[in-house]
Amino acid sequence: MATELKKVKLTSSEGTEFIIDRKVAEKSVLLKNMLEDVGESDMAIPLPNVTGPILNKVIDYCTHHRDDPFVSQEDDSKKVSDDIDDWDAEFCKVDQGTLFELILSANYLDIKPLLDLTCKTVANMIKGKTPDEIRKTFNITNDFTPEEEEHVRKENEWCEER
Amino acid sequence: MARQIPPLCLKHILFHLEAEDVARCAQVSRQWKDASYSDSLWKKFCDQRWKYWRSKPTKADGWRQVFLVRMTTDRWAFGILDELAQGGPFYLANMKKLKQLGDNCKDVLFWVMENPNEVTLTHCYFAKRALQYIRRNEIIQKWKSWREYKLEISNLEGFAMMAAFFNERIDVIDIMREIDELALEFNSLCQNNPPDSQLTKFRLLANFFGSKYPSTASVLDIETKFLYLVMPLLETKQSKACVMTVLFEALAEKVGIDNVDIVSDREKLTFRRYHFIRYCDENNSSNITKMEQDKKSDDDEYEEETDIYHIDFQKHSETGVLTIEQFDKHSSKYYGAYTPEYKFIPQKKLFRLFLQDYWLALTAIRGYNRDIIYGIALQLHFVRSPEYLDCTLGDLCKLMGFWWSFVATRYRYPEDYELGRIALADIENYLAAGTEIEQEMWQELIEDVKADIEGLEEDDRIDWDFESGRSVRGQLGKKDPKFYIGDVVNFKKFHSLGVICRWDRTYNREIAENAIKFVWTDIESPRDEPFYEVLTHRGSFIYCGQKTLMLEPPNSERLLRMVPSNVYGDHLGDEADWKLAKALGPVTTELVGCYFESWDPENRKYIPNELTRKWFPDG
Repeated sequence: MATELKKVKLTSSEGTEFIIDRKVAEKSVLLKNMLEDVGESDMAIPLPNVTGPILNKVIDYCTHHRDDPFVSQEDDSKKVSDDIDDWDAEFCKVDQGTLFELILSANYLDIKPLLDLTCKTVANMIKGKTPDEIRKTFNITNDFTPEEEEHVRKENEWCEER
Repeated sequence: MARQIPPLCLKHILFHLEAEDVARCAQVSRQWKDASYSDSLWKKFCDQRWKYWRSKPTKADGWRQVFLVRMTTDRWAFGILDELAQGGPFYLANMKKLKQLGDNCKDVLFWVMENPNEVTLTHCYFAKRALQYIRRNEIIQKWKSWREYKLEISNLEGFAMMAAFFNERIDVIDIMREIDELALEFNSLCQNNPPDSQLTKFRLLANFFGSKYPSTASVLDIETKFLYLVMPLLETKQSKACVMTVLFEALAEKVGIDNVDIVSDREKLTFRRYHFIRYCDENNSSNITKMEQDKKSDDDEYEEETDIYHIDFQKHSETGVLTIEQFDKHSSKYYGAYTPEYKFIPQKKLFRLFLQDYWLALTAIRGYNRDIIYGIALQLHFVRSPEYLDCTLGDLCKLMGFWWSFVATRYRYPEDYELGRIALADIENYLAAGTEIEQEMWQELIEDVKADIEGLEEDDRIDWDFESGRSVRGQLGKKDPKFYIGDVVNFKKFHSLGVICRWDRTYNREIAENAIKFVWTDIESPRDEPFYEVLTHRGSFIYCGQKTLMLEPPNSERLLRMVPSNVYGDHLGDEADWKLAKALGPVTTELVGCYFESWDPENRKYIPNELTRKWFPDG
């Protein structure tokens, strides 16, 4: 089809331009809808919420997965967080800041598989950890008062049984 | 340097965690707590964990509360089930624990009754087990009134009502959807690799189905998915095999294979039960016959009349059994067509099996001594029309010898012998037609019978006058119980092993009407004779008259029996199971722990526990 050969221009928040295949761009539901609305146009699409390096990563992902079938919304609940393939695992070997940025951009651009992948990666970091370990991992300060902390611990102590 | 997780991310991330991990996340910080308590998150967990269970978030507390309530009570129930599973030695050692267990059961049951909207599958399963286990009137009364029906006739009916109730809470559509999915998957398989005939297709389906549910090892998986769901439909005789049956039939129908019929074998009353599915393909009958013959090349007596292909579902159903009703339907239709090894039995060879089973069925109806009827039946159907079965008097003698060995080893009542004797005397009339050798065989048989009776007299203080055919009771008075607490008895009707856990001098109405407890109540025995509460090796209670029982002979192999099993009825056979089995003794149900301290292999009796001793100090 002719549309598949079309190129799309994207602009990151710093103003860097990226030129990609339309098919790659259509992995993002946001861009897909936009492109459908706009129709044929050579205008660059501005993405003020996404920085250049992150957009680069996102485009990497979309290019690698350009031929994947579209995953429907319903069966995503079945997936467990272990089933990440090698390429994806390598893709996620980035620092936490980048990972969170990726989650945000995936959410903004509405790329469900990427959102799932990045969230799973973070979820795997959380799994099996105690609250204290989680705080350490993600550099979070404990802002509970001692009473609050005791209360919330009581409320959730069932998770430690068996 | 790492930065904080943006709140928006957090919501997405938590969706990929299990409930337990989310609970830990809630303790991290205020922001995390807010995200962890999100309602949609907990709705997801509810839907995941109780997939087929209609969710009803009734209260304003939201889904998290629903989840917590269900989870805690599920754990509660599962914990008790676990204890019941490994219960035997545990109870035996610890009276206090036993009582506590009973209290816990009660609590859970009450909770279930008070919160019908929160009931889950685990609760259903639990309630069934618990009602069997705890025998306290208060609970049963409350349960009855809650269900608003009277439990009158039998346990079966009570559970059927219960099942009906639980059924309302089951989304059958979900099961159907699962079957649909399987069918779809199978059909797409067939498209890639088109089977050349219906038979091949059927075989493919069986393999496919088998691979989906490979063995009893995945029991939990199957159970959580199907067993609980189908169980209420199948009533108390449920099993994995039943589920398999239902599913397989549905599946075969969906993928368009006709003529599939699920049959269980003749050994339905033994401990291990097998099933097979047979498939009749009219168009390909020649094919199949050939295959059948290949299988049976070692036995050329079989006739070439079968066009039935069958699949051994043994590995799926080690503990399985069809409901009795289903079985009867099938067994009357395919009566005697197969041995337990699934070998076809030609018509001529059937007669002996036929006699045995036919009168087994008769006794089930009449509720009376099987072997006596067997004897009478021999006389009526066999002796009076010998040409019908085309056998000699020699065969007859053999058969009668066989029959007598039943009577001689199993029964101790003079009336029984009396009936047997009449049968023998009747047959004697036909002897005139026999040859000399046959006459000799007959005489031998008569001698044997006489010797047996004399032997039994010594054993059992029953006076028996063979010449006059009259019987005289020995020292036992009519109202003296013949069996005592802890005795292992044979319940003649089903030939099942049981242990006496209560006796009454006469029929005790109050006890007998405890319909929740007893799967079978004897309504035929004279009520002025002693009655017994018997716990059978299947874990069910029966209330029956003296006549229906006999002491298991001390040399019986069944007394040595040990069966490792758990609460699901699976055979695991690991060390712990065997340990438990040893403690449980021949009545292989953990419920013996409710009455007895341990099995005494020396005296072949159960030693009563404190509670039982209180009621029956002298046994």
